[in-house]
Amino acid sequence: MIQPSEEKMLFSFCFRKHLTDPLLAAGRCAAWRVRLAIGLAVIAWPISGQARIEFGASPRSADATVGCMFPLAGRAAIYGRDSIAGMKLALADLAAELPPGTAPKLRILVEDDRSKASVATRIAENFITRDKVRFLCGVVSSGVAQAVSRVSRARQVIMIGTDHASSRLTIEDFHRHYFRVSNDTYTSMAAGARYLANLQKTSGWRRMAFIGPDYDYGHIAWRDLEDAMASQGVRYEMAGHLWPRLYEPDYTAYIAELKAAKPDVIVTALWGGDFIAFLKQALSSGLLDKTRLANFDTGGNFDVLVSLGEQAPSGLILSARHHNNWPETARNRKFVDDFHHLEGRFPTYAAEGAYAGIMAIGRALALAGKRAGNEQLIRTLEGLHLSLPEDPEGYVSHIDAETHQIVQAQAIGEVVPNSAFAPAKVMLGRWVVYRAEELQPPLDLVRSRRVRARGDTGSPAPPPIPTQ
Amino acid sequence: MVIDKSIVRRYVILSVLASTLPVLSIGLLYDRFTGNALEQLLGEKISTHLTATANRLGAYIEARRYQIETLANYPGISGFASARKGETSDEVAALLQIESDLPDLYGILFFAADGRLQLAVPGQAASGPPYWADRPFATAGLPKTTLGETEIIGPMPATGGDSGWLLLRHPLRGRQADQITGYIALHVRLASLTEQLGANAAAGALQPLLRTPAGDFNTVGQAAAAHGEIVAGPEILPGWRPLLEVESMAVLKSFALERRVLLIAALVSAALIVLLFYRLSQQLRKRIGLLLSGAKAISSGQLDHRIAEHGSDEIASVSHAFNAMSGKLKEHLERAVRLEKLAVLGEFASGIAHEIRNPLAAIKTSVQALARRESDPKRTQLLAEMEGEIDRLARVVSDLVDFGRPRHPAPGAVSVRELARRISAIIEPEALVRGVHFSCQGNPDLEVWADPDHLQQIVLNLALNAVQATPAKGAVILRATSENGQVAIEVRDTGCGIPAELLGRVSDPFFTTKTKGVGLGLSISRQLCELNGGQIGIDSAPGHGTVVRVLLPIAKPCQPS
Repeated sequence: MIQPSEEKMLFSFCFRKHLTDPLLAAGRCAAWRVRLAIGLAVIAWPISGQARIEFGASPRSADATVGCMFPLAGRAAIYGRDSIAGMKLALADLAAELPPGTAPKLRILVEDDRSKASVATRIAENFITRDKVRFLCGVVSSGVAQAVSRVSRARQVIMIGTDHASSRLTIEDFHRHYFRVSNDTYTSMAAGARYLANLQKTSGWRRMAFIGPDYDYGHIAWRDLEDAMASQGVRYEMAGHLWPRLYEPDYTAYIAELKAAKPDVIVTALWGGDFIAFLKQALSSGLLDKTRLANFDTGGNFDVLVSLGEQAPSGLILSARHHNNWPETARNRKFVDDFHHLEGRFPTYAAEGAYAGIMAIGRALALAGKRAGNEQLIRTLEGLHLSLPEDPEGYVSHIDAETHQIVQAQAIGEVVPNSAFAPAKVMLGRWVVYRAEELQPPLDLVRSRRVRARGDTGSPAPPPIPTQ
Repeated sequence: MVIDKSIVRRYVILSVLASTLPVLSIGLLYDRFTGNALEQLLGEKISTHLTATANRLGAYIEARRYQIETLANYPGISGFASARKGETSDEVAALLQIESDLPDLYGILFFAADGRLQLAVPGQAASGPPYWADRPFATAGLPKTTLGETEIIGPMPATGGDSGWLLLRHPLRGRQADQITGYIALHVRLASLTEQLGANAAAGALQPLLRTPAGDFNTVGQAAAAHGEIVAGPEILPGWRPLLEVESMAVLKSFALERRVLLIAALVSAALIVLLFYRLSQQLRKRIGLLLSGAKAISSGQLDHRIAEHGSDEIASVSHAFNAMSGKLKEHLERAVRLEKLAVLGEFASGIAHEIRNPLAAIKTSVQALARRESDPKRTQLLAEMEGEIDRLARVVSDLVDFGRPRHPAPGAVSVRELARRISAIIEPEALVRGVHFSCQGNPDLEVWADPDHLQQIVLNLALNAVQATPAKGAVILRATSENGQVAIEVRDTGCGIPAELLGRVSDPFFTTKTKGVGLGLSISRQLCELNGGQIGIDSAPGHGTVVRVLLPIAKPCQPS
């Protein structure tokens, strides 16, 4: 990762002097190019270095190579580690579930995208050109995922998104090569709006504030919630929108703003370490004494529950893309137990997302044939039904052909004492479950959003976005 | 007497001043000190804070300006936006991707020379327009601030679900340096700039703000309207400067509250002290007033006046001493009066006795001579009665002489047993005649330190009086006991008793209730008792008999028998 100091050094070339001393400037410019090359090499270094993790089939025996990008360091590193474990479980389950000899042999490559679009783009390009991957996979941050999705579109390589949630990827930014196998912001916020509508009937809340990370995921989460609230006919007063940067280290100023705004309910789209940091500060500042905090997309993640210790704040309303204690099905219990057996700890939702990604690839290859072309694979994936740990009894997830988004149910819960999943002392309980069918975006909404994104409604057309 | 300079008043005033002045002085000094310190600290803090904030903001803008200037002058950049697809430089694209991949930037924008948006390079934080066309993106109408060649466009305040932003736009030049072919701009996250304002210097009291040509913004990049006093910091760009909104009430809220509490505490303390001392002084003055009035009463001769004694403090002791003093004084005066009276009576009686005794002797001798010669039995009887009356008169004269000139005592140990025996021998026949039961009780082993003759006369007088006052079938008891190092000799009868109004007079000379007698017996007993260092007391009530109690020094301690 290029630190700010490195960045400054990288660009500390001679333009000021260039204006007055062209000869000196030329020499300095040459030196700067060397530095730029070193910088780019630094970015490229993990691709060929030890940061790569490889497992599954060998290059020679593999039916397909899957190139995955996850953060493996920093605040979001747990997502990468859990995703790798989830993919290993998927490989084992594919071999066990499919008839002997029919399970596709997958070679899986994982590299640290450092939560940087530029790094992920470079990794994706290298996966495609050097490793000849047939699938791109993974990515936690929606901002990074959009950059990789553009590579996928440009290079016509199928991308299976496992752990990012901006609904733009399947609606406005939709392309045929992109699929997603975890709940997106539309699904989460549709469930959240229904929960809030019901809560309003019991508690009478009126003022709502929203705080989300200042990148596309946070903003589209708000748009999706706003639309879902409107569709549910919920009347409320907006107390404010706050947009801290991704990986914000200190939420003091934002919490002060929220306290001053005096909302009844705060909905947040902060995730991972950001949400844990915010939650700790919010709890210690007394923000949640009179205000309820809801995080419908990621807040119920296992690492968040562990971070709460023995605290079980009554005002928390949380959900996530997978829960270790819901649904109580044999499939989910097996997944959680297998993960615990493999890693010695319980999984975050990222594990199930990555598991679903490899399961989707494996099932699609098994159905379409190991040598099937992209178009055949896309047609197979469109409408693919997958039985996943997240599915409640009697339901099987499937990929919607219109959006390439997996269609799943969502459960929202409150924090309750539960020490069955150590080291967590609390888990989610008092579940409210929303059926998958009611959380799907209506087709006309999908289409109208795509039209607006293309600028077909009188608004200026978007400028071209470079995809190198 | 009018007290012009009351010690109590002075004491109270001095005490109040001594206790309240330090409290008020320290309170006022503390108040002034903390007020000055707070003012100085706040002033310095605000000034330091604003200067540091301006430096941070300036450095941030300068870093972004340097970044965009660097990019604008990078080879290949000026033609990047207008290059055909497939003809763009990978190096430039990579550079733009890296440069835009910061959480502070939404992206890098290219504008045509006419200001039309040509190309958007989305950064990691890109969201909303112009990267998505569902809402318009426009720079028209936004304020522009010039920083050298670079223009700062905006800021654009946050609206609805979109964040606030500003553009740092730099011209792109063609081969001819004076030809502007377009512009490149950093699409900067406004909150990243306003975060340089830092956390609130004093939560709730000092609100840092960024003043821009588009309005004021708070730390999290939200448009804010200042309500309190504004302290402006150094200008970082024309129209751009950090502000501190000082809510003076909030700044001083805790201080003012503590100050008010301190003042109230000082005033309440002073009031309580004054009240306390006032109450104390009132009590003191009241009690001292009682003392004074008592002293005045005693000085005016009211020796019976007694001052009320409350508690066991100094004033109670003084009151007690006053009461004891007046009691002793009264007793002393009464005794002096009595002694004077007795002295006068004694002189008078002695004179009379002297004048009567010799003629009486001559008369008696003559009567005896006449009786010896008289043969007539009637006359002889008459002369014998006459002689008897002369003897009685002589005894009265003798009593008067004894009363007027008592003999000085010659004290010695007198056995109670012997005393009782002698008294019984004299009294019992008389009692027997009168049908009165006489008995001796108590401790016979006691010994009294007194003149033996005086003691016998004292007790005899008392016993005779008791027997004479007791009707038949009554009883007279002589009892001797040891009491506080003295011997108490008690003569108790079951007679008719003495009315209260006469009780004070029974020991006066010549006072008697009997038909016979001159009323000197009790007076002589009291006189002799006092001469021997003793006291005599009478307790009587009509119908309940009389108890006369003589207290005399003990000769030696004895065990009760």
